[in-house]
Amino acid sequence: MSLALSTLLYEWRRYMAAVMALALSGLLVLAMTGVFIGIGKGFTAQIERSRADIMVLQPGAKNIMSGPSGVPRRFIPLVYNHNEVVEVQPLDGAGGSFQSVRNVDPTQSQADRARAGAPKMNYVQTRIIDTTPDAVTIPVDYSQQLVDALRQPYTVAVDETDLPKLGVRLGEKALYNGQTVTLVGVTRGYPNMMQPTVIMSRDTLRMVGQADTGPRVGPLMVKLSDPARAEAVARELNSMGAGQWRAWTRDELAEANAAGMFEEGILVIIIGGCVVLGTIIGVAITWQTLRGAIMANIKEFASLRALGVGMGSLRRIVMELSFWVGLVGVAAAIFLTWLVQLLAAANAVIISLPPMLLIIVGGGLVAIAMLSGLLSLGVLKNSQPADLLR
Amino acid sequence: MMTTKVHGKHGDFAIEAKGLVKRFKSGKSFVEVLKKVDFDARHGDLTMVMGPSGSGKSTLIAALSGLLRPEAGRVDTLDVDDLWKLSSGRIDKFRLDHCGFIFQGFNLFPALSALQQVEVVLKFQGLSKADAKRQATIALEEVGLGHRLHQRPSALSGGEKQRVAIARALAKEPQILFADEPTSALDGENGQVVIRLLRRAATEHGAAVICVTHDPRLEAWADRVIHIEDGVIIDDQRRTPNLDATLASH
Repeated sequence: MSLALSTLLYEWRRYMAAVMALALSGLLVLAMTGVFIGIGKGFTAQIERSRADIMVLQPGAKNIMSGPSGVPRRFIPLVYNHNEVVEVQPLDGAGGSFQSVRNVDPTQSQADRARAGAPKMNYVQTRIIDTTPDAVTIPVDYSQQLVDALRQPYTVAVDETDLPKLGVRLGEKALYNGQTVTLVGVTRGYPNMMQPTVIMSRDTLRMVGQADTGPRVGPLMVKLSDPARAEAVARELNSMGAGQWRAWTRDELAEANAAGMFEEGILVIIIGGCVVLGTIIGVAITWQTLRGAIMANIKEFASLRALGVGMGSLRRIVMELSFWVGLVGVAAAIFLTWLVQLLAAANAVIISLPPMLLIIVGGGLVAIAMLSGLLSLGVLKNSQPADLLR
Repeated sequence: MMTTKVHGKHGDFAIEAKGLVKRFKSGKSFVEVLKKVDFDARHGDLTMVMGPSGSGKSTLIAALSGLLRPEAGRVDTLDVDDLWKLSSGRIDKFRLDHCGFIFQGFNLFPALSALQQVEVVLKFQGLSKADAKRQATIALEEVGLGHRLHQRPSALSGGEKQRVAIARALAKEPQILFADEPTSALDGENGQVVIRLLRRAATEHGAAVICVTHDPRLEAWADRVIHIEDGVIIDDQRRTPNLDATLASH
């Protein structure tokens, strides 16, 4: 084990401030970015966890949320032309008002109801599934019972995290756009921080009058006979479409959806601000901690100088030390973020941490540590062996 | 031009210095710590430099070893003519290849075991991992710490720490060994162990050992005792070392 690593492990308390500064800088950026990606995931979770291996969007679409995403209905049979395609269903959804009818007295005014603490009317977004067995639109973690329950007309499901907000319980009735629906299912793991989501069957959506029945439909969800071939089939579908559409694999689209969040100007400002603040705080504290730690061992460094070890070698020791401090900081940042993620998940807030984000932030933290190391090289000038002679 | 030989035999000059002058700034005036000092030391000799504090003895070995540039004078050492004409990188390299250092404070890295303290320096000298380990083990066994190889400084006594520092200096097989007050932080018993090790480095390894001290009891082991006072050498005697002398604790 090298001198730098042994020193870090043995005198870890001395380096704790630097590690914590890096960890907290990392946490700041990871958590903020993760929350925003999480917000995006709240809208797309149902699609990303569907059985669709490929999705077909308009050619200009950058992701599922920034259109144009709908396609002409005639694309459905065109996509079926590929012999590995098993099922094609258009994505459909809508939105509307949702009002719990528990303890509602229709003669009361809005003000009276609010005073009594009755559930308020909420605007919800609606997503659909097809209730045919193993339909491409059904998320993989939906139970058969949930699908069976939603097959009944005028039934809906919501996520458990939306229950208090919507003021409904399993089995109760509510008004969706003024029409009575029954809550027959509660999902877990589909929180949406921005807007509650209601799941219903495509048939129920049609019955409430919101289904796409015209010549245009939503993005196409495509199931393949062999999901492992998704990339190849997507390529083939794209050449078959000759520019009319673009076929995305599910993973490709999920990444584009997450990245799409960052085209919002305000998010770039918030996260950019966190990055700048995190870097300044990280560098300042890590630099000062490293300086102090090197000063604490300055006599030992000076004795190495006396024995003829050059300044360059001592600088390399300091840089190596900074690198290890950075690496430990990355581990601590990821651990802290994971804890915050658990805490957030318990409160229905999703912090999404794609590997790419961890790699970028981790690399940034190591760079901060190395920069701090560079800044603290100056103190090595104090390693004057002549000072050891008295 | 004066030349000295590499890998000197017993009795050959290891260092010759002429006219060393060193001043320090003290307020607005300068204090002359070394006043045209001439000095030499031979291989196989334990040369003791003695004097009261502030006499310039530590400054002398700093100037001899390339640690502190003198204002005037030259140092010829081993095969190097005028050490202070070399670049600081070359001076470092010279020390790495030929010099050992022992300080009053032990200056051991708290994180490293005794073996690692010695290995670190050998690795910087370019030895392979295995060679460094083997040579470090030999050096530590020679100072009687074969059983303490894996202890960190916090687990070692003062005497043991100084022996690790000596092993670190000797493992390189230096031709010149500088020691600055090596025994003053130690009790009599440990001091005796340390001075015997220095004696052995001179006698058995043929190193020129230059030991700065103000402890008169160490004189017994010396081949040569130089007294320095106010930056001037006032006395230079050769003597026969008494290898069985004892250093009573005081």
